[in-house]
Amino acid sequence: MQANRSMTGTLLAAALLATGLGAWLAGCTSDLPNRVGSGLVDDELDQSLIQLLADDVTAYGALTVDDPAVPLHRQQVLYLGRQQGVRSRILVNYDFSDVYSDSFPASAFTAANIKSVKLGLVKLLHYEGSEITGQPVELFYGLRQLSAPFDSTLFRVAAGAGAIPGVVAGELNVSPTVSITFAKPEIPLDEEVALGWFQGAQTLGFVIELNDNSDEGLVGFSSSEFLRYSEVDSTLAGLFLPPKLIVEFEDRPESESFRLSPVADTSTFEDVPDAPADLSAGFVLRTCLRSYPVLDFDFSGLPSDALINRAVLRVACDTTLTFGHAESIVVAEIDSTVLASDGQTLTLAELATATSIITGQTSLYPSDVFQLAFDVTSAVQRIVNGVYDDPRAFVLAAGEDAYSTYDLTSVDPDFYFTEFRFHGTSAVDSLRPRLEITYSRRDERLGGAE
Amino acid sequence: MTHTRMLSAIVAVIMVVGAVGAAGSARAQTPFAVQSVGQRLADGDARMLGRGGWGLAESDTLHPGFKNPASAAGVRQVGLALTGYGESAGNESANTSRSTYRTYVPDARIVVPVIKGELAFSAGFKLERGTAWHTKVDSTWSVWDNTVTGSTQFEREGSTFKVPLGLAWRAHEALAAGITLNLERGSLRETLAAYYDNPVNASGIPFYRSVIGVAEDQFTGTSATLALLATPFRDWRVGVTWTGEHAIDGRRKTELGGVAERTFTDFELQRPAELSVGLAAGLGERWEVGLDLRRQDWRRFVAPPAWLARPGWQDELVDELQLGAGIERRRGTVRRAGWANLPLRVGVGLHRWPYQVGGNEVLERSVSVGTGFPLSGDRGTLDVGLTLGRIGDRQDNGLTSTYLRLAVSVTGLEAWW
Repeated sequence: MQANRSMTGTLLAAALLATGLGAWLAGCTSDLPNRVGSGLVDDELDQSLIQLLADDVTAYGALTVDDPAVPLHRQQVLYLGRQQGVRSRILVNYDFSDVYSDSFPASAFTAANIKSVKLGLVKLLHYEGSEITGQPVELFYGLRQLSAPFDSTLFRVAAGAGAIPGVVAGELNVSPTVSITFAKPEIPLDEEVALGWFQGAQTLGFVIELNDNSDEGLVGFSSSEFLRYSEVDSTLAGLFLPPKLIVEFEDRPESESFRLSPVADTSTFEDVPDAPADLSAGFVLRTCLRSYPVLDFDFSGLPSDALINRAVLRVACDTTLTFGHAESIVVAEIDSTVLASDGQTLTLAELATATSIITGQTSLYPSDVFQLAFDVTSAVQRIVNGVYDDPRAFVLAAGEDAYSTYDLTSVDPDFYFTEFRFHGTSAVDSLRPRLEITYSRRDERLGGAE
Repeated sequence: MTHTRMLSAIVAVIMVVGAVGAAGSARAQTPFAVQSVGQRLADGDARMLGRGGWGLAESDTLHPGFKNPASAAGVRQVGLALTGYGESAGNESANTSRSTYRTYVPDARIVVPVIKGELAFSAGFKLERGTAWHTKVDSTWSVWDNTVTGSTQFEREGSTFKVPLGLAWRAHEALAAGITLNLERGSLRETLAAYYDNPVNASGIPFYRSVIGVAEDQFTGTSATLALLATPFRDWRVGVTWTGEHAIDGRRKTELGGVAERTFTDFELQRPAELSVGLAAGLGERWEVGLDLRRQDWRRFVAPPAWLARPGWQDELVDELQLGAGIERRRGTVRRAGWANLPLRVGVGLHRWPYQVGGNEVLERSVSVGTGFPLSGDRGTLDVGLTLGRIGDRQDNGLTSTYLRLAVSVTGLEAWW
């Protein structure tokens, strides 16, 4: 029995010693690899980091994106003016049928008692004109009456500007030749004409416009849907800020003026150039009236065994044509067969479903943007490796809710009207849209041993 | 506690140690192993390794050897053996060198007498071939407007092992036979990577995606080994083992990191037959000499041409030969003889690897010494063997490895019934 005990101890000691020795020696196995042994096998890629410039675009189109929840007449901003071929006026309907109250009885609305009638607008901070902001300074407003109130439901993004009723001749503002530069412009109107509107007790439509003497520029004003107070003067926070008819009375202080809000208002966007049909002429990313370009590049220059190391989409803005507010630009994947569909119009929800975000950039100021580069490596890897059955293209979009990483601003892309106009395929090499692809090649053989 | 229960505890400890050790590292460590079918690990226990590796003609039932399955036929007690070794190696190629340190637990065995002295059952775990080597070459590329720095790396690691389940039968005093059914398993992974470390973006992420290709093979198969151990003359013994040509099923998973690609491929390997012959002769009271010769003609190996990461690898296969010879002064039992009773072992080894490297065959030469220590009551032995070896030649193969290997075996005996 004593012998057994000794053997047990010895064996246990040996086993524990072996365990300790093994653990200790195993800890010494972190010797760093180096060249020793290299070249014994096919241990390098056949070709590393090969450059390929892909600048042939096999399919191009422009997606019009509509948000059914926010038709044009429900957008928070009303646009007025003209810029780079875009022209918009503002339509407003006022209902004069039920304007009187205990505070403002009908007896107050007399020619003798009305001191002035004005149309008040609230300009967004971004559009305050100065040399610094680059926004128009000299603005000559005009107001004319429509032959009938407009039908706001006709004004949808995808349906275009809709039907604008005819205009009754004659401007209603008393001094159309005077420029109004204020952030809260008030357009003086003829009191007698205005009195007639009150006495008529009907719903009337009006069009607000800028005449040709105004500085060029598209200017945004708050609409009756306006809620983003961060975009206007802070003293206006929480107030209702649509275009208002303001009536001042002789017998009351200015602070007790009568203010009539519209029952409908909208931008007209009656002139909005179509996105170029031919990519050689360039392409456009537009917000507010969302239009997002889709580009399907030709990948046939890649060999079948290519391993994509990097792919960069480069586009260049034409800074002479680009304008608007800072935006995010997102590059997403989309089934390019969507380009063959009629109208090429998607709802916002359909866009979210149809696209997969790849990358993007935030806070792109149109005035500063020139060359943009997007790392689309992961997407090109998927495309080249045949992950998809259908051809895939890149869509350049604004920072929609669906692209949460790049949806950093408090306003959605329907808020500001911004156009990034990019050079097309007829531009010089350094400006045309292109993919800079870097790839490596592997042989079919890849290791393994007994 | 009864001695049976005590030994059960020892068995548990040994098995745990073996399993942990085997899981931790069980791969060869020379750059030669990165090529072709990989490196064969040393055969036998520390006693055999100390005397040059011979052991096919081993018949000591109080110190059973497992290199020849027939050796176990005469055991009368339950035997347990665990062999492990640590190895340090210096590896040199043109203008570069690298030192490596590894530990292995390649062999764990148990033998149980069914009919004492006549029929025994054996089982165990034996690492056969293994590889663990990693190369790295720093590189610079110019692409677009960037200077890209990084490295290309290749790594091979894995092993194949056997679980031999055997029966040994002593048909005659001078003849024993054995057979084992070997469950063969293994895996091996090869990773080819090109890392492009710089430049990086503002987040520290490299501009250029690395390419990481991984091929991982899983092996399954069975083989059978036939064995004989004969004593044709007094003090002369001859041992023979033969493992027939057999098929190994392989399944490869190929993945490319950063790329949506994963493929599976099934294939079959036809491994050539292996014949080993051993001879041992007594030289007097305590002295004994022995010789083992093993041959496996890898030119008969069949595998898919694109299986290994080297074009034309099949043309480099050769007939593998391994020779081990040595002399042993067995343990003495003279009272108060002290160190003089310790066994002494000396041997040499010569091994022609199964494939060429650098257009020339790879020769491995080694010398070894060893000794052992009996456990109390002669219920086992602790053996150690030290081997100094050199693999390849700078002139012929472009690189060489010099290793020092310390092998330790623990063998225990117990009568369970």
